[in-house]
Amino acid sequence: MTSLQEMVVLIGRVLLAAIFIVSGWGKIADITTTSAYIASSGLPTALAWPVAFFEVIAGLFIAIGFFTRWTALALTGFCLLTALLFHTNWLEPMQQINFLKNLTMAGGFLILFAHPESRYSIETIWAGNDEEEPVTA
Amino acid sequence: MIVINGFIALVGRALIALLFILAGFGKVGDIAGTAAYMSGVGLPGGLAWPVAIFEIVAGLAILFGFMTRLFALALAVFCLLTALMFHNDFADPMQQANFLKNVALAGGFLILFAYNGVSHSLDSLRARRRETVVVEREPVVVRDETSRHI
Repeated sequence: MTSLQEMVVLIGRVLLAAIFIVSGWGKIADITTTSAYIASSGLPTALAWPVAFFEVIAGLFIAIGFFTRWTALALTGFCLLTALLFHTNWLEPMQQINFLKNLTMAGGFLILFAHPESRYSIETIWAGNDEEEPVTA
Repeated sequence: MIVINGFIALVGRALIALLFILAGFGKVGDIAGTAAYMSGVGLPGGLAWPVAIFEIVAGLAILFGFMTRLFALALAVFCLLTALMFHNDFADPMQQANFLKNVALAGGFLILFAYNGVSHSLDSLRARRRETVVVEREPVVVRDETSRHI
């Protein structure tokens, strides 16, 4: 891929990650409301902290490109689970849209899972992409 | 592994496409409501039909992998525009969530746009057909030249 395409992948990853960093941070800042929301769908409130941390850490991993493949798979599962647990009341149009948007995000993460390779990522930089570049040039 | 990745990407494309195909048909089914929703944010109601058809066509194109890069870029822009126009009331947590979700969708489309080509798609089928045509033509050209030399 050209460096422009690589840059587009990086921007795409940051945009995909933003919601998880922001909403994870929001959950940490207001953990009681998060617990109540989680309890409203019949899940144990003790999940609030783990979920909040998972969102922030997974979001950061995707943004910087660290364990991209497996983080993308974990977030695919997370988006599908939250769609099924929190957005199943389809009589409400907003719930239906949110269900579908979660599926769409899951689709984005699946594509990232299938193609995690990226020049502008921590894993590539740590693997030493400088040594590989003369070969491709 | 490449085959599996291509198949996973196809499932991903199907999940992405679903929202737009369903939302597009929903808009067609209630075009007056769509027009009212659009005029609510100051856009001309006449956009309802073009937007509904764009959503269906673009969704199907992503699903089947037809001009994937073009439609992925168009949908990335579409998601960002709709986020800015319809979900900018951040006082409402639901609006904020929808804004961020649209931004995330745009990110997914940008990643799809960045790849040179996706497998399991009409694009890859057409590319393969083009390759076989080239392979079939080449010997004919070679034969012509040798006969001329003789």
